Amino acid sequence: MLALLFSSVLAFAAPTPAELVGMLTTIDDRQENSGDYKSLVYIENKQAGKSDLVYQAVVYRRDADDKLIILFVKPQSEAGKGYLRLDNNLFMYDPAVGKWERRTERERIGGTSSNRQDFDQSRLAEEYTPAYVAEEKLGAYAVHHLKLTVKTGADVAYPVADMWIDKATGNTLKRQDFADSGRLMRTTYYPSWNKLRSESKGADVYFPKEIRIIDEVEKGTQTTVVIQEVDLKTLDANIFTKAWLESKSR
Amino acid sequence: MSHVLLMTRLALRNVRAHLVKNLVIGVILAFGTTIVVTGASLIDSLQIAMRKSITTSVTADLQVYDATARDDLALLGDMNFGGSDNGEIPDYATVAKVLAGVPEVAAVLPMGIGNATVFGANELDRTLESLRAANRSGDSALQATLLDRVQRIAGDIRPELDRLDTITSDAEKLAADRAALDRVLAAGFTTEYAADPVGTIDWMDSQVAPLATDGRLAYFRLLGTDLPAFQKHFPRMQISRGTVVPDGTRGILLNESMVEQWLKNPVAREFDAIEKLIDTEGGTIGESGTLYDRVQRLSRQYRRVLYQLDSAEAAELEPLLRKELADDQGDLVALLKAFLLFNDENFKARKAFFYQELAPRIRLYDVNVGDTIPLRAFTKSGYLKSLNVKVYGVYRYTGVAKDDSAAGAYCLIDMPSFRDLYGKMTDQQREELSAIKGAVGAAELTGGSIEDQLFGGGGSVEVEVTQTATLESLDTLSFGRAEDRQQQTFTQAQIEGGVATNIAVFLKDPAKEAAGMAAVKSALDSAGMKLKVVDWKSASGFVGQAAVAIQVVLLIAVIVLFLVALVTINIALVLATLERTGEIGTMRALGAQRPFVLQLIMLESQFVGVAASLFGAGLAWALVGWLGKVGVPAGNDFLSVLFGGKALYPSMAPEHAILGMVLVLVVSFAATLYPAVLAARVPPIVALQGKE
Amino acid sequence: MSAIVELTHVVKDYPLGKLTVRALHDVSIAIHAGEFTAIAGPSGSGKTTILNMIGCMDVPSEGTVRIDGTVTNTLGDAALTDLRLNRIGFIFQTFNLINVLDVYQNVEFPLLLQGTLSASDRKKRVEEMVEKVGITKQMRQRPNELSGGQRQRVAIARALVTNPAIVLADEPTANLDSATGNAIIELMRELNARDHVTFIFSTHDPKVMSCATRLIKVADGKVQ
Repeated sequence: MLALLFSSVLAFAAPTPAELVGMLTTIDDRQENSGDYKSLVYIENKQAGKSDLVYQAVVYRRDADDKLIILFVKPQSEAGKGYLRLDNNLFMYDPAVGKWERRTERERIGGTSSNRQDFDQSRLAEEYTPAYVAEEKLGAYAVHHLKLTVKTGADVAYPVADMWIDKATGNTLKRQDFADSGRLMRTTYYPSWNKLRSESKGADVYFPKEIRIIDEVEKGTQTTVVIQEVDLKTLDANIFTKAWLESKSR
Repeated sequence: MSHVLLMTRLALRNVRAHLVKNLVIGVILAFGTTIVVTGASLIDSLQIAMRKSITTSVTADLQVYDATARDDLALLGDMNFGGSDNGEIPDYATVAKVLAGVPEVAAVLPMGIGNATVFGANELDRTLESLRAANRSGDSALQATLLDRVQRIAGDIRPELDRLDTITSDAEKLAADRAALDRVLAAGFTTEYAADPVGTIDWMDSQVAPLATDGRLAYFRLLGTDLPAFQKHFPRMQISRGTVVPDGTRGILLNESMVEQWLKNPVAREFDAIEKLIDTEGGTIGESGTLYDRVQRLSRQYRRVLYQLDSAEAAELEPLLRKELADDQGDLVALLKAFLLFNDENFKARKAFFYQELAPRIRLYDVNVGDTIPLRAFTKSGYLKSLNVKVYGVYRYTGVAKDDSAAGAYCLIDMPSFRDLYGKMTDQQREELSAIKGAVGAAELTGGSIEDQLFGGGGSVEVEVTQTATLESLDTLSFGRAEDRQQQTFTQAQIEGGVATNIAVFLKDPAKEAAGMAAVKSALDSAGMKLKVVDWKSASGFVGQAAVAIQVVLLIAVIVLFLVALVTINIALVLATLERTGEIGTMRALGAQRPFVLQLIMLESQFVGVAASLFGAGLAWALVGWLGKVGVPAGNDFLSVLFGGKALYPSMAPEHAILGMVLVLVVSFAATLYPAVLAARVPPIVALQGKE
Repeated sequence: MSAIVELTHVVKDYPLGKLTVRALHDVSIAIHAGEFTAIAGPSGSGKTTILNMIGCMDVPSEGTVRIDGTVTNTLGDAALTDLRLNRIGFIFQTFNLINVLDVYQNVEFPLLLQGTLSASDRKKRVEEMVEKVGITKQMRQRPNELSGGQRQRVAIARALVTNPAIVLADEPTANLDSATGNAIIELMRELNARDHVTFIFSTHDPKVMSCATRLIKVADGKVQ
């Protein structure tokens, strides 16, 4: 009886590895749409001593094939530039020169502190091994603090991350990414999550209302991503090709 | 009159009587003169050479730039490459108008300093890009050749992957990579390609191309300017390949030394560099560890040649290499490796073979005249800006040896292209940004803890939303041809109207630099422009400052030398005077006044001084004359910038000799003053004290 | 006839550290033109001090020194030097010729300092003097090529070339053997007799003293 009580206390204090993976899977599943995903996002970068960078972009995702396109539509000078993710390759296209270039996972999207992962499907369970740190408070919220370590072969910007997951709803509220050296690279906040009914999934698709990225390397630099609209209709297959992105500027 | 006669006679005779002492002093003074005269000639010649080298290549006589700039203008480079901020001149035309009104000014030229990168895609990327283009244009013969090249490269990478077996941490990825290469190398691949060219290229783009790792980034230092005017005002600039950029057209002229250093095939560059090391430093591959290591490394660079060969070229080359290497066996890879592993005996022959047989079959330069290159830079407003610019030609400066790499080797670009990359935001663009911002509006987090602001409220973080708008219209957006958005030709007014980072000012009389500078400054000030004016030396940056430092060092050396000479001569003369008290006392007793004695001693040393300085100046004249014939070798690239060529050919002007002689006479005068005063104080009584 | 050299109640003090040493106590001497005077006394007697006063190399602490009518007491270095150049000829114990000059030039030296004679007059005068002391043959030789006696003859010529009022000779024979010394004394006596040159010697050579027309003995800073 006592042992049972003790083990249940332990279980409460520290979720089992399977439970931790479950948390991540929940987060991934909520954000995934079994069909396609399209969103209009606003990206704003503030950097000390420089003028703000402001973009509006359309993000296309086909989660089933791990494909992603980020197409900049505003401002005019940036319109037509874009990123295409194909089979673990991130390509960048600039219509001004008509050239494609392979970029790394750490590519700062449009020169901001955001990277590909911020726009792409969530693949936490697939990419990281979780460990439990503690139960903590984040502002008014009770949160699980997890330590994530990258799995072999996964293509991510940073190998180690800390996550703070809302106990009540299971949503990510805060995340910190670390480089191999252990240096803190960025802190990301997800203050609120939107739920949108998906016909193809037959359930809600979750997406953060906004993402606040604090650059911990270049102090004073902060990027905000606002997901303005999400559309879950099926997309044309030819969207996820170089030719399609090129055609936008023909 | 008779005094002078007596004194001269006495002085001359005394000089002769104390020959050893005076010879020692004379040698010191002559040496000093030689140093000063030679030094002055060298410094002056250096100044002239530098002036010629720097003002006629990029700085002009004066430079005008933003007075509020964070960093000093450093046209020939500084320690923080690319990071310097020289502020900006918002509208060149208005400043040019003010400067044109200054009578001392002959001409002005807009300049824009910036940096850009050109992504040097790896050879496989480049081949795939060509393949994509060939597919679009339907050139099947070219596609076959390119596909063959892809397979050759894949065939070379394949064994590398086997070697990774033992050290990889990701066996799954390695297996996938191997499978991808095997697919390319499979017999049916050409058929596979023919069935779906675009899909196959896309697949290779993402699966195969990342396996080749020879891509590199080239950095360009850009100098945006009015190109025709630049050529007119900097006549030393010479097109060595290609043509000038046609008036009113976008285009870039690459700097020859930059091309040699950054854009040349690495194997060719290494051949050049090793030859230079052997020629200039007399090293041998057998004895110099560095050279030996470089040759070893070079042989591992064989892919830089191999990847650029197609089957036909490879087939031509193999027997040639086999013949050149005589006893070497193996396939082309083995032959290439062996070919690049040369030694002192066969280096010349290998280099000749390389340029004769290999170079014509490969891309010797990453960028060639006629290519259109994608320049990329972060604009002042922070956006990444890319621009295609046509390379019209390669330029160099006359008077500078071909392979001398000049610091601050700029690629010259037209002003509108510079401005595109510089990316100064227009009011219209600024309005557009604030409109976007206003429409979406992310709340600004100000002050206090971010976490408190974001998570202080409590309540559920989840919000149920419904789709308010379909985003269908986004799928059919079209932005039009990028090239169409960029103006291709422009007028003189468009060159001049707009931002520049600095302005080159040519004076009517470069000799009156200070006056010209003051006139320009006061004109700008009275026009209320917050701009500063600097001379070419300061504008050239650390090169100019280094030259000033060299002069200061030489000056200090001269001062130290003179101080030593002064003290030495002083001591020698004091001792000599003490030995001569009897004689001096006698003269005093016989009725010689104190000033007579003082003047006599001074005269003696001035005789020595005059003779020594004449001799020293003569020696310096001979030395400088000789140096002027054989030249002072520049030794390194930095000095060749200062010297304006491979060597400095100094010449001596009369003022150098006069300067040296006057300085030496002043020193000998100063050194004699104290002993002469001592001598004049010798009392006549000593004559009676039995001394002689 | 007034005295050409006149020392009246001359006192000379020398500072020696904090002390003052009195070298001369109330010395009064008068020497007239044409006299051949010997000043004798042991070393430390004040003999040299008297010679310094007469040679215008020093001035008295008290009393007056009058040389050829000029009182030297208040004169500065330049005026004393002038006085030496124009009124006094010097003959030294060690000859004190200027080694870098030849015989002719040594003799010419004071004339050049004076700068009053024309070149031709100067030449005439020098040659005359050189002949008078009997060293015409050695005229273009350097002092180090001469014997002691010849050197002293050059010195005598140099002392006399400016026609000084007095010739001061400091132990002129001390560095010469007695035969040469005698010859030098003879020469000076001759010059005294013929040209009425006023000679003042300091000496302790009995031979010289015996030739003197007047002997002034000095002891303990006093004339006896």
